[in-house]
Amino acid sequence: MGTGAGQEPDLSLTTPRLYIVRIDVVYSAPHVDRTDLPRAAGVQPRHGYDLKRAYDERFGRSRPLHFGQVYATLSRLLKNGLVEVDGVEPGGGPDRKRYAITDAGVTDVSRWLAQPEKPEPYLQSTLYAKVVLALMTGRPAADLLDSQRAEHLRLMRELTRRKSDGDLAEQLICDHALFHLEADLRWLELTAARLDDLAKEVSA
Amino acid sequence: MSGTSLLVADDLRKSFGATPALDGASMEVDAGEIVAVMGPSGSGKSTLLHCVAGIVRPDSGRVFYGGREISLLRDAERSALRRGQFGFVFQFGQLVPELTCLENVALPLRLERMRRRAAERQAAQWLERLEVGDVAGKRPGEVSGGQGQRVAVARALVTSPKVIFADEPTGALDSLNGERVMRLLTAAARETHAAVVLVTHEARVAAYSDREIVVRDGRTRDMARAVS
Ligand SMILES: Nc1ncnc2c1ncn2[C@@H]1O[C@H](COP(=O)(O)OP(=O)(O)OP(=O)(O)O)[C@@H](O)[C@H]1O
Ligand SMILES: [Mg+2]
Repeated sequence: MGTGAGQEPDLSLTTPRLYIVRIDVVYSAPHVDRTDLPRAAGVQPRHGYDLKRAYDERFGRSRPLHFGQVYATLSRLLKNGLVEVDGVEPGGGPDRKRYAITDAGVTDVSRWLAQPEKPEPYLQSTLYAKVVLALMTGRPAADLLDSQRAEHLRLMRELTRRKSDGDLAEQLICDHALFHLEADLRWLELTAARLDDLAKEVSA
Repeated sequence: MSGTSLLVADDLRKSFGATPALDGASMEVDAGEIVAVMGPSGSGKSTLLHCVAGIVRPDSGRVFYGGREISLLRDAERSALRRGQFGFVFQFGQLVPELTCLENVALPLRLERMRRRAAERQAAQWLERLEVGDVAGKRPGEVSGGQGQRVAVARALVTSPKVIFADEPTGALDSLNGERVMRLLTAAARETHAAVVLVTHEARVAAYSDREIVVRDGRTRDMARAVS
């Protein structure tokens, strides 16, 4: 069937995972006033494994965390005093420790949440490079734009289907992707309409 | 030309004065299929829809519905076909302002001579289905754009058409309302096995379709069939 079938689109958040794990530790802090937290679930200190599961459920449906990432993040947070070890259970294995967030960690999360993300500048476009190269080498640039549009729409259909089967969280994630793909498509349309002018400039 | 398609348009041409609106446009739609017609403004999308739906007669080219050539039908036969088999949703201004929303939805059934009670009972069910049961007694001027558009979809569906023609059905709506109209329209079409010809220049709307046809300068390009 279509080329899009079977391969899961990559919807992982671009947010550094470090912070996301950190947020989850906030939920598990024993000594934080949770009334101002968006969710009061999972109040007890957590093991690395629980953190991974909580992350995957909420953010990592299409790209789960590796255990290695979780433990590397936790040891970094530990070194910087942002989490502390709340208890160690006897026995072997890496998941003996329970972690809880410190006051410094709570402050750090608040600071991170309050700070706006840097907008993606989108100035390095492979599509643009392909269009120019096609024009420079006398290949049909319009066909390239057409097949790219078809490919984009294929993914958009898949996301739209997924959205109608999913809960609100799934819908929001898919919508984020859909609006970005739509922006690409609008650019493709506009470029198709300007292809003759661009060809003149490129050959000049 | 495939004999199995419900709707077939073959090499349509249509000019308005010196302006060629269609210049060799072809398309096929199977029963139950949702097809998006995309393309820039002025490329001929609406003209194509009007020709395919038998509202406008092309200068040349042929349109078949269920194997019958529409352009050969007499006017009365053609309007009977439109009333009985087709449903229409446009961008705006299609509801009769003097009638309530319920009466608007019941209207196509009344035109088919259904009794008032029965027609309004069916209309009420479709309003519920489109999540606008609460505006049944209001006039179109008293409801929001999103509600009005869902009433229009209910009216298009009330006769259980085989094909729904929708020209920019979400064009005047914001993202959230447009989304809702598309979700309800496509779900109802899938359930009743109605085909949809959906004119739109919005990719997020087209993403509700099974495949797209692109119109440029009055000519069509059927992407799925061009690739295979
Ligand atoms: N009734 C008419 N009289 C004169 N010219 C018309 C008529 N209908 C369409 N045209 C012309 O035919 C061409 C195609 O118009 P059409 O409405 O089919 O385009 P469209 O793709 O639907 O555009 P839009 O996205 O803006 O709705 C345009 O140049 C338009 O001006
Ligand atoms: Mg139009």
